[in-house]
Amino acid sequence: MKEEPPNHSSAKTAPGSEAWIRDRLASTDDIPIPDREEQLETVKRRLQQEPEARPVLRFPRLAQSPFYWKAAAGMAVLLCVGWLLVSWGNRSVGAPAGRVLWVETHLPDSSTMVYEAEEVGMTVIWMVTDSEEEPAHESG
Amino acid sequence: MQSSDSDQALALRAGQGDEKAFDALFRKYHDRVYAVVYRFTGRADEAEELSQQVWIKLWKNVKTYRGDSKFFTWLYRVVTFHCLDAARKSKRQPDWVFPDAEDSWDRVPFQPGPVDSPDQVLHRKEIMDRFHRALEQLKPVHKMALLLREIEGLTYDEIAETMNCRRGTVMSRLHYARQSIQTAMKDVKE
Repeated sequence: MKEEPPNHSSAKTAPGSEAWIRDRLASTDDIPIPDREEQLETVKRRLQQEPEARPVLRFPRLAQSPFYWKAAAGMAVLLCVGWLLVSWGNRSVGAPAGRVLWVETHLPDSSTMVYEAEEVGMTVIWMVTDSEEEPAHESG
Repeated sequence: MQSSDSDQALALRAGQGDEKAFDALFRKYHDRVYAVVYRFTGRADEAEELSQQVWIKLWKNVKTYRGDSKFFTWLYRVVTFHCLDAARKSKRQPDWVFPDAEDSWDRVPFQPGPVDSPDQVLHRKEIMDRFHRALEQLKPVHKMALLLREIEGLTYDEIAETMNCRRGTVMSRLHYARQSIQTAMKDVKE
């Protein structure tokens, strides 16, 4: 589809036609534009009255911090354990313990371990994220 | 609508706290920004409030402008998202920005031509009321695309950059906006 430049002609056209709509919108005759200098003064006055803007933590910056990934990892583990506890609480007495087939975290460089503590009848899920791993020690 | 290199220079200076540079940008773009916001809201009082908020937001954020895009595209991105945000909030507060169609456009001053008869004046007013109501019924994103195109003369690509969407989406929004208005005005004769 070829793009035609807007043509702000004043030719008489049928109401509702593309050119008619364009003419009506482009015309500022019916727009009560306020005094520019008064508006500028008002904006400046409002800026002076406003409190200093507080820094806002935005997602991309937050996502870069180790705190974010630790919090996310902790939350994921809590959700998994919570789900397992609820499942375990709902099962009938004497039924075999639920088994975890797989765990998905969606966190980069993370690894998971599933451990079934038979003595207490619980399944424990560990998750290690990149930021929590100990740096490798060189040997020799 | 094209902004010159000096706009970018002014914006960069404004970002460093130069109030005179900000004043110059305000004086240059105030009327056009107001026109877009006014057409979007349909009310002078709301347009004044929203456009002031746009300039306040612009002053607070102009330091993030790096000069790697045209200033007016960046400016209209602020305008667009501020207006769309106001429209979104107005769903919860229907009397705040977009009141009933019966009420809002009656406040728009109507300028009859000097040689119009009373019947012509009335007829033209009815046409414009119908038009304004059709405009008001548009989805906010459709209306904003139409305003950026017809008031500011932005290209499809510039609108896409401003509204953070694809070129095809812009074309689709413009199509729906025009079609809706045409449908609303199909039996109107001038």
